[in-house]
Amino acid sequence: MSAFIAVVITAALADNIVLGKMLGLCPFISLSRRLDIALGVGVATTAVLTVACALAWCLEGLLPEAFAPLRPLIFIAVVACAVQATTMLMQLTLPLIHRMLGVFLPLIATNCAILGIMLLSLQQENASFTQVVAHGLGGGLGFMLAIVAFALIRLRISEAQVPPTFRGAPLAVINAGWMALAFSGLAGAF
Amino acid sequence: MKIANSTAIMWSVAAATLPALAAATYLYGWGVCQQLFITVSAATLCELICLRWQGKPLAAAADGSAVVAACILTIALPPYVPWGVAAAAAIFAIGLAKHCYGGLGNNPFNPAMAGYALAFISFPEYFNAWTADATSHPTPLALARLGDPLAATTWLLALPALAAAAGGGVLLLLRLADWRLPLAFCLGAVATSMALALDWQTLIQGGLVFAAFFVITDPVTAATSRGGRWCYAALVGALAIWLRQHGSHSDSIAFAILIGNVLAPLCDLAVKQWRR
Amino acid sequence: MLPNLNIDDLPLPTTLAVPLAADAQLQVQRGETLPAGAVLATGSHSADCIAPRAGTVSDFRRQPLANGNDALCVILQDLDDTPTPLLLPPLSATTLPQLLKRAGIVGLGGGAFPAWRKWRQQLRYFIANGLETETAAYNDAALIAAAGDNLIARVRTVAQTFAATPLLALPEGVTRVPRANDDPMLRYLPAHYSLGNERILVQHLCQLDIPAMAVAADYGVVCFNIATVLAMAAAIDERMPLSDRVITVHDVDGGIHLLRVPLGTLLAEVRHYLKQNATALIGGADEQQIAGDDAVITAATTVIHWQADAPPRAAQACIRCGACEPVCPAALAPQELYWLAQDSRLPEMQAQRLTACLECRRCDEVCPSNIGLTALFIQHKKQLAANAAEAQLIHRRQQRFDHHEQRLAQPVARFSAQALKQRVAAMTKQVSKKQ
Repeated sequence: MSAFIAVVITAALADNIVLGKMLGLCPFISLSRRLDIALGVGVATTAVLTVACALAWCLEGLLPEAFAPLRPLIFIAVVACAVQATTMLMQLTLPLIHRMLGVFLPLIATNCAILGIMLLSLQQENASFTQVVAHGLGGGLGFMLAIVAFALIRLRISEAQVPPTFRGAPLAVINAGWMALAFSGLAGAF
Repeated sequence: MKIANSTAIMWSVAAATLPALAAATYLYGWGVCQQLFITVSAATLCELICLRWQGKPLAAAADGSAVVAACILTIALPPYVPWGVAAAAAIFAIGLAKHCYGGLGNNPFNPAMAGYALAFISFPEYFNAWTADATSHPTPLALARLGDPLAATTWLLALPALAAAAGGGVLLLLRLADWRLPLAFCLGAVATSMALALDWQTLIQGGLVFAAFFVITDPVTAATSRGGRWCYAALVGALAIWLRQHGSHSDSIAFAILIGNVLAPLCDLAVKQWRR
Repeated sequence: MLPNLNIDDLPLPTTLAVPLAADAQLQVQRGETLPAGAVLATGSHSADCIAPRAGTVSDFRRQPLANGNDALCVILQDLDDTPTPLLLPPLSATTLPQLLKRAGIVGLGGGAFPAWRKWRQQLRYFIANGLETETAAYNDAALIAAAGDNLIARVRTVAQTFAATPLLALPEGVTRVPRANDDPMLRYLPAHYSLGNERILVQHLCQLDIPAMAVAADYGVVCFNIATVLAMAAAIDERMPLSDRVITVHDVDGGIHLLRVPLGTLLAEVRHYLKQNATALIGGADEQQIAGDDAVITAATTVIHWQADAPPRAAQACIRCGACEPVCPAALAPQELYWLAQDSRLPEMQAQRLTACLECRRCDEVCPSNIGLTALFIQHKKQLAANAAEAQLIHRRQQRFDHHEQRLAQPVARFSAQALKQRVAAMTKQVSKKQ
C-alpha cells in the first residue's frame, strides 16, 4: 500500500505531467479560465486515466511483439474506449456528476497527457498492475492539481492591471513557465 | 488607526534587511556590498523602464518594492556570482515576475524568489560551485555539507540567522508584517525536521530564518485569508525542510516559496470551503 | 478625550430654507405669515415639514442640501424666535404616530427616517442609542451631558408611550449619567463607532439578528438616536415640534464646537458665526462631501468639518496586507471585494455580502495604500441595485407579455349580463377582503 501511495505522490508532484513533462498543455491553458471547468476536467481526467492505464496494462500483456510500434495508435483507441466506458458507467451510477462533467469527457480522448502517462508508465521495467494504475491515478491527480492551481492564479490575473502586451495567452504561458519552475524544485524529492 | 502607508512599509522592510546584509558582509566580505549595489541598481532601472513602458508615473518606483526585492535577492544569491548573473536575477525578478503581471500587488510569485530561481536554473554552475572563487570565503552551509568541523561552530552558523531575526523581529513588533506567517512557517519547518529526525542546526542554516521573516511575510504573494495564511506558511516551511533533505536542487527555500505561491490561492479556497 | 460639550445656540438667522420631502404636498402660499410649528407641507410617508421659527414665506426654490442632492425648499424670512406649542388632541397609544408626524420628528442620527413610521402595535424593546453614529461627532455626548438627571426620565416617558421596555445604550466610560448608574435600562457598550449602527446595536443588546433589508421594528425592536428620543420627549411632554438640531463643527484650527441650529439654516450662517473661510466637508471624518455656502443644514446633517484645502492623498497599489479585514464591522473581506471589483465580478461580490457594507470607511482609514475602498463599494452596490431593478423590470415585462398572450389565446366570451354581474361581484369581494 505504501508503495502504491509513493508512486501516486511521485507521479502527481515530482513528475507532474503538465509542469514537469510539459504534456497536456492545450487543456491546461484553454480550460483553466474558470475554476469549475478546471475542476471538472481534472476529475474527469483522473477517472479516465486510471481506467485507461488499467486497460493498457492488460492489453500490453496480450499484444504480440510485432505490434509494439503500433502501441500509440492502439492506446488512443484504448483511451477512447475508456472515455466511453467511464461516461456510460458514470451515467448509470453517478448521474449528477455525469451531468456536471459530461461535456469534458469527450475532450479527454484527445488529451496527449493521457497517452503520455500510459506510454511512460508501461515503459518501466516489469511494471506491475498496481504500479501502472497508481501511475495513472497520480498523473491524473497531478494534472488536476496543476489545472486547478492555474485556474485560481488566472482568476487573480484577471483582476490585475496587466499591461496590454501580456494580456491573455502571453501571460498565461509565462505564468505556466513560473509554475513549471516552481515544480522543478520537486523533481526527485519523493 | 493607520499603522503606516505602503511606501513606509516597503522601506522599513528594506531597512530591516540591513542587519542580515551586514552579517553577510562580515562573513563573506565586501562582495556582498558590491552585489547589493548591482542588484539594487538593476532592479531600480528595470522598474523605471517597466513603469515608463506601461505609461505609469515614474514616482511609483519610490514605493520601495524593487529595493526590497533587490535586498532579499542579495541575501539569497551566493556572494561573488558574476555581476551579470546578479543583474539578470534582478531583471527577471522585476520584469518577468512583477511587471508582466501589472506591477506591485498583482504578481502571484514572490519577485525575489522567482528571479533567484530562474537565475539558478539558467546559470547553475555559479550556484552549485560554492568555492569556485579562491578569494571568497567558503560558505558555512557548503562547509557543513562537506563536514568541515571548523565551519560547524555554532557562532558562525547562527550569525546570519540572528541578524535576520533581529531585523525581522523589529518588523513584527512594529506590526509591519503579519506574525502568523513566520510563526506558521517555523512550526511547519520544526515539525518536518522533527519528523525527519534532523539536527536542530539545519533550522538556522542557509537562510531559513531570513526566509521566515522576510520572504514568507510578503503579503502580495501569500494567501489572503487568515486560515489560508496559516496553511500556506506551514506548507512552505515543511516543504523547505523536506526539499533541503530530499530535493535535487542544492537550494530549497526559493522553490518551496514558489510552490507555496502556486498553491496560495488553493489554500484560501480550501480554508473557505472547510469553514462552510 | 472629550471636547467641551457645552452647546451654543446659533443666533437667529435671517433666512431659513426648509426642505420638503419628496412626497410632500405644499400647504402654504407665498407671502403667508406663519407661527413656529406650522405645517408647511405634508406627505403620506414622510413626517410633516414644519416651520422651525415663526416667519413669512417669501419663496419656494430648489436649494442644495448639506448632505448632497437638492430639494425644493420653503424659504422663510422675517423670522421670530417665539416658540409656540402645538395644538394637538390628547395623547393615546393610537394617536402617538400622528403626534410624531405632526411634530415633524425624524431620526437625528444621520438617517432622517420619519419617527412615526417606526411605531408598531406590539414592541418589545425601545432602544435609545447614545452611541455616536458618525466618526468625529459629539452630538450625542453633548445632549446626554445637557440632559443630565432628566435623561433617564425622558427616555422612560417615550418608551412608555411606545409601550416597550426601555434600553439606553451609552458609550463605556465616556458618558456617565449622574446618580443613575444602576438604572436597569442602562447598557454601557464599548465606544466602537460601528456600534452606533442600528442593526449591530440591536444584535448586541437584544441578541437579535435583523436581516440586511429588514426593519428592526418588524422584529419588535425600535431604535432611536438619543437626540431623536429627546425630541420625541419634548413633543410628548411640552408639545414642542422638532425645530432645531445639534451639530458638531470642527473648525480649521482643530477646535470643536457644538451648535444648536434651526433646521433649514444655511451653511453660510454657521460660517459667519464661527468666522471660517475654508472648504466645508459634511459628514464623518473621512466623508468627501463638499458643501457650498447655500447648502441647507437638515435633520440628517451631523458633522461639519471646515478644512484648509489639502490635496487628497494618491492611492497606491494594493499590497494585499489584509489590514482592512479585522476592522470591518460587518465581517466582510474588503480586500477580496476590492480585487473582485477590479474585474467587476458582481455576482461574486454579492456572494461576499457586498450589500452588508455599512459604508463606515474604517477600511479606508487603515488601508496603507490609501485606496478609496468605500467609494468603490458604494459604486458597485449602486450597480448591483440597478441590475436587480432591471432584472425585476424585465421579469415584470415578461409577465405582462405572458398574461397578454394568455388573454389573447382565450376564446372571446360572448357578452352576457349575468357573467358580468358575477365578475363584478367577485371583484368587489376581493377588494373588500384586501381592505
